[in-house]
Amino acid sequence: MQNNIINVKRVTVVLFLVLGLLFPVLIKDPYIMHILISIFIWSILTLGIRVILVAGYLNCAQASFMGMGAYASGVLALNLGLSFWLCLPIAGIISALLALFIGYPTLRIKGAYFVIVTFGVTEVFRHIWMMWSSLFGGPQGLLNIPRPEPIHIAGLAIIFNTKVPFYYLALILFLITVFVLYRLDVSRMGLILRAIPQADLLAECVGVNIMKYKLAAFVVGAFFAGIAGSFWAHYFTYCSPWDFTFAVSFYMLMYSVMGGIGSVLGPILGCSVMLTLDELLRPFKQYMPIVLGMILVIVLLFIPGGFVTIPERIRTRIKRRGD
Amino acid sequence: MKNGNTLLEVAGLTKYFGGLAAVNGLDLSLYEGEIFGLIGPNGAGKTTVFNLISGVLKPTNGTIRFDKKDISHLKPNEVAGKGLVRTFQANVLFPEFSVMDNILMGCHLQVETGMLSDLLNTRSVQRRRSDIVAKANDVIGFVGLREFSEELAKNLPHGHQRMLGIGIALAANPKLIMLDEPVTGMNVEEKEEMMNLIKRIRERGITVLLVEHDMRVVMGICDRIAVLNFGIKIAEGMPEAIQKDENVIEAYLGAEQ
Repeated sequence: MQNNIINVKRVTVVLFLVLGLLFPVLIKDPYIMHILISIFIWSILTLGIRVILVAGYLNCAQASFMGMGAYASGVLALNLGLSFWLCLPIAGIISALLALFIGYPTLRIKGAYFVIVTFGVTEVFRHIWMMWSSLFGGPQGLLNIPRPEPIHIAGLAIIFNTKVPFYYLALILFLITVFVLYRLDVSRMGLILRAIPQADLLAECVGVNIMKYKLAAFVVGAFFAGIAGSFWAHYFTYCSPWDFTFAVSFYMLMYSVMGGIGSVLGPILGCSVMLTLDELLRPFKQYMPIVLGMILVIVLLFIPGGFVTIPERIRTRIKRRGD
Repeated sequence: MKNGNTLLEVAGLTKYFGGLAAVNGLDLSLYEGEIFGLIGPNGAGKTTVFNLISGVLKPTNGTIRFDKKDISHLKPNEVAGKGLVRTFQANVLFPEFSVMDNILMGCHLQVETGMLSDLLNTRSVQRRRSDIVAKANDVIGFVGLREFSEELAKNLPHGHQRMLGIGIALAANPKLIMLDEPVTGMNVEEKEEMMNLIKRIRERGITVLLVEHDMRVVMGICDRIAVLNFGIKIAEGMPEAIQKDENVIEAYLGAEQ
């Protein structure tokens, strides 16, 4: 039985992997490809926000870490002419370092206070980008950020002038994120992070340095946000202060809660469902926040574990009916 | 037993909350291998003493020496690292975790392998994990929760939750375990079981500091007892002597007019 479940899981993962890899070959519609790229990138962001979310911390500054990655990458490419392939990891590291400095004092506070502080952080960053025009381009942001340089593999040049290479790059970044954060989730660190909101003092009293783990979770989440930001900037070739507001972080939090924070699958599912819905309802764009709000309320009331728990719920219901 | 080495030495311990002295100039010495009871009326400062020793609160004055090292200013996780582990008054557990995972949390100090090797799931991490699971199983058996190993902590009855709380602390390999009112809310049989457990903990070579309200339990298992009232120690000695001590009787029953 146990073996069976693992196999089913494995087969599903492989199936999705093959589908993901073959997708651009099967469907060449750039519009759909763009939606998938968005889903990959948003999944990276929400997976990143989830790491500290399971410890009970609503990080409202994730958009700022994304923005910092985007701006760092853009500035380095525009001013120093650095290659995208260098900018990408540097952006992640810069965001991670910022999270280290911001997290060290702020992760000592809990609940609503942490939300307020991270909200404040978002505003501070937005103003820095707005006011420091010489470096960050002011309200209009950075323009003409170069596309990633072509890669040459075995005499074959991959040029980033269509959606396809971007699709594969986003897919690879997404898969790396999923892999790392899944390992983190099932490791001892995952156990400790889930323990913190239940009884942080007890954890400390058996010798866990919870500050260290919270900080690590915050930094890891910010690192992936920085990577996502860098990709975003070079994909759209611009970024502005308005792309990384408090509302963006809030969407990430909503998507992860809707999908369910119990496993790494939750945020991915949340992003997939909600971004697809967002596209389908594009003609009614102005009503989208209402729809989103209603879905959030329904999820919180009736499926508190998020979308990921739906199969389990159906299974128990069938079992109950059977009895 | 009284001639054993001093394990915990508290000298002049004082804690002020604003202008109020919750604990005032407390001296305590615990010998290796004894069960030491700390009693006193409500509000006497027992829990504050616990919080001070375990590093949850910082003392205003005084020193706490454990195993010949000063631990007065260490953080709770550092105090635990020295081998001094506490339990909590209420059923503080990880309610959403299984009994096994609760105990595994307690094993933290022996599992910590560094986050990176943890993430890479290196062979040494895997080996150590199976060692730890064996150890956790041992602790679960010791506190009598073997058949509940996969049950969520929140689904356990009160008595078993208390046992689990002690199991978590034991998993941390303490030299001294501090139990904060372990028999509160228990029925007679559960109390009996708990007293037994405490004796068995001592047999493992672990020193016990016990804060308790239940006089029958305290008198039944403690080697020595200290009595606190208004943050000051008013008596210390063997259970028989404490029972006859006039200061103690006065503190509990009120002075005769």
